[in-house]
Amino acid sequence: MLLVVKNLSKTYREGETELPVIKSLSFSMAKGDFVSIRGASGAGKSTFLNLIGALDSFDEGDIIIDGISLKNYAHKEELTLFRRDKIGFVFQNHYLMAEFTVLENVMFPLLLQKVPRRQARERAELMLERVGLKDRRNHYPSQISGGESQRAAVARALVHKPVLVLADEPTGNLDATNRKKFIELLQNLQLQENLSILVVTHEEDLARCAKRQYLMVDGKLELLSG
Amino acid sequence: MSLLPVFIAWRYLRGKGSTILSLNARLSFTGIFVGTSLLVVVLSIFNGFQVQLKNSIFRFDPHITLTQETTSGPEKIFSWREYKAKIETRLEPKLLLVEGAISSPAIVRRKNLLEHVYLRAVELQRDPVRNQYLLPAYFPKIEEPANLKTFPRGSYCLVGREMAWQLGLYVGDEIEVIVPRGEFAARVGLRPSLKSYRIAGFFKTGHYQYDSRVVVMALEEAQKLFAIGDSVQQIFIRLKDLNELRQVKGEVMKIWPFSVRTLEEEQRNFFHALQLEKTIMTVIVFLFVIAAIVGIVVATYNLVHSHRRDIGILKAIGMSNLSIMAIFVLSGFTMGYLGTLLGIMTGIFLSVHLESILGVVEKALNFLARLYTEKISGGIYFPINLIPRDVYYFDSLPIHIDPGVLHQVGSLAIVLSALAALLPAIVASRLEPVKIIRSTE
Ligand SMILES: Nc1ncnc2c1ncn2[C@@H]1O[C@H](COP(=O)(O)OP(=O)(O)OP(=O)(O)O)[C@@H](O)[C@H]1O
Ligand SMILES: [Mg+2]
Repeated sequence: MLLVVKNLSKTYREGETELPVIKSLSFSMAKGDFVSIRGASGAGKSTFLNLIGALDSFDEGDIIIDGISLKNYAHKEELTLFRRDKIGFVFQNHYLMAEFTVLENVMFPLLLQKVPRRQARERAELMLERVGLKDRRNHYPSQISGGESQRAAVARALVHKPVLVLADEPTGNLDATNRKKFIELLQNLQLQENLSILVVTHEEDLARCAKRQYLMVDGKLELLSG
Repeated sequence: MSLLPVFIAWRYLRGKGSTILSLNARLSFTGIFVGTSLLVVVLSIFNGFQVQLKNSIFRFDPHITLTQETTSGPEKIFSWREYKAKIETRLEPKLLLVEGAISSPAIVRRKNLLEHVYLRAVELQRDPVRNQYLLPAYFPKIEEPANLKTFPRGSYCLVGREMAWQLGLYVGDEIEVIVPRGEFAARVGLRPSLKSYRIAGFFKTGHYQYDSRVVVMALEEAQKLFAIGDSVQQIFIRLKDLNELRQVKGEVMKIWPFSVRTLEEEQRNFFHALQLEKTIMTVIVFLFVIAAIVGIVVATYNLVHSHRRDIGILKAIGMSNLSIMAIFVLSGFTMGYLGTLLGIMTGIFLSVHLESILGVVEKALNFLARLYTEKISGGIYFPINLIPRDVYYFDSLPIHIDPGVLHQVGSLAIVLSALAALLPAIVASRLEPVKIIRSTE
């Protein structure tokens, strides 16, 4: 199994009040799985994704990715390296760094892995070609459209071939046509590269293109189909 | 660590597209830049005043003065030639000059104007051909007649340029010098001695006190005036190197059993004032440094704040805390470094051209002032003078650029800007990516 989540619990504490968000959740994913999670706003979908991506800490249970429990990483810096090497993130606001060109943005995950600059550049260009942004590579984020930005963000999330891609409402800011294009792109890439994708979304059409679809209710995942 | 933080820091400073510096970097750079250039100008002027004052005093005043002090003042020294020879043989390599001297308060009368002055009479070499005295090498410049090197023997004296102005004197005019006769210390009551001297020239030391109060003549002439035969009141010693002042004093004290006073001791107030000026300078530098630190802290903090989302993303995709810190330390440091460097260069340029710059400012101010008085207020127009000569008593603004001080200020600013950037950089490295990602969702 690529990802195993066992009895995961997460409670937010603000002074006296406690807000249990994830309640003894179990879930697993194999390599090449394409999973979508839907759920009401505030159900805890983002929280779940952030826990798997080691951006946040959980209270109970365990998360095992690629055979290694996140609990094995004692230090935050080790978790940082884990993210760098294993995870590809796509956020709702497809956040690209404004002072860098599209190409440079896509190169960052590789540069962080200390891939030589030239090689990083070649791989990033290749990735941009796959998402259809080759001719936009030297533009700055402010010079491209929202749909293009989100495609660039996908390129950035995939360029270093992460074992798991985590996408939190990747189409949240896109209009219908752009959303459609984006979903097609994601589907193609997933098939071609045998990617393992976990996507959180409100959008029916995006959710439906996943092989397995879940609904998050009361801190747990319910299988809808697949 | 990789070069990635350098690359990112550089981009943050450069900003998007082709601007030279981002707005943020430009602001803090400007702060440091303006601060440093002004500091350099201020320090150059301060230094200039100090150097000018010191030079004028060290050139004109004896470095060590020997007297035979009694309770009622200095005594006549009869055997001064003996001591002079002794000191000369003993300390020869360190000395510039040893001379018998008379330095005494006196009164100058010109028509019905009286002025209290100091009479300074020193041994003067005689021109072997003409019947004239040679001015010693250390003697300040003679303003009028320009570049005078000798003056006639007999009843002639030299006075300071300021005194000449104040008393309305011309070269060749006569003044009366009045001193107590026979004794320096008025032990037996005052019997005045009075004699007329013709003015051979005006000197200018650059020090107002001297130029307005000192009358110089040959020792022989003063001895006649005081009617004391071949005795003197002081023995003056001048050194080649003023750093040896204390040491030479020690050795002179072994030869001269009476009072030995150095220039520093004679001019205690003056040196205190110089010290005070140094302290003020230090305070100014200190204030500047604080301002620079605050500037860098604020600028770097702004940079961190405006790049919160970048920090969140970079951490999410696996950049270490240390690298995040490096980005912002480098940014702050670079702003400080460039600002300081350019500031120092500009400061030097401004210092060197300060007079002409002030001249232009003065003209502009006067133009506006005249326009205002003539067209609007209708009052009387007085020209503005930014550097009134009669107040500052300098022909030109004394500017002295001290490379040592610049070096210190520069290194301090650069090191501190790195340190100042550290705090916001630590804040940046501690930001939690999950919070950032949530807050922008
Ligand atoms: N840092 C936090 N402190 C306290 N409560 C939090 C914190 N982060 C999230 N929550 C709460 O946890 C709950 C789950 O939040 P989460 O963002 O995971 O929901 P979500 O399913 O992603 O919702 P949406 O569909 O609106 O994005 C919400 O009620 C939210 O207010
Ligand atoms: Mg969410």
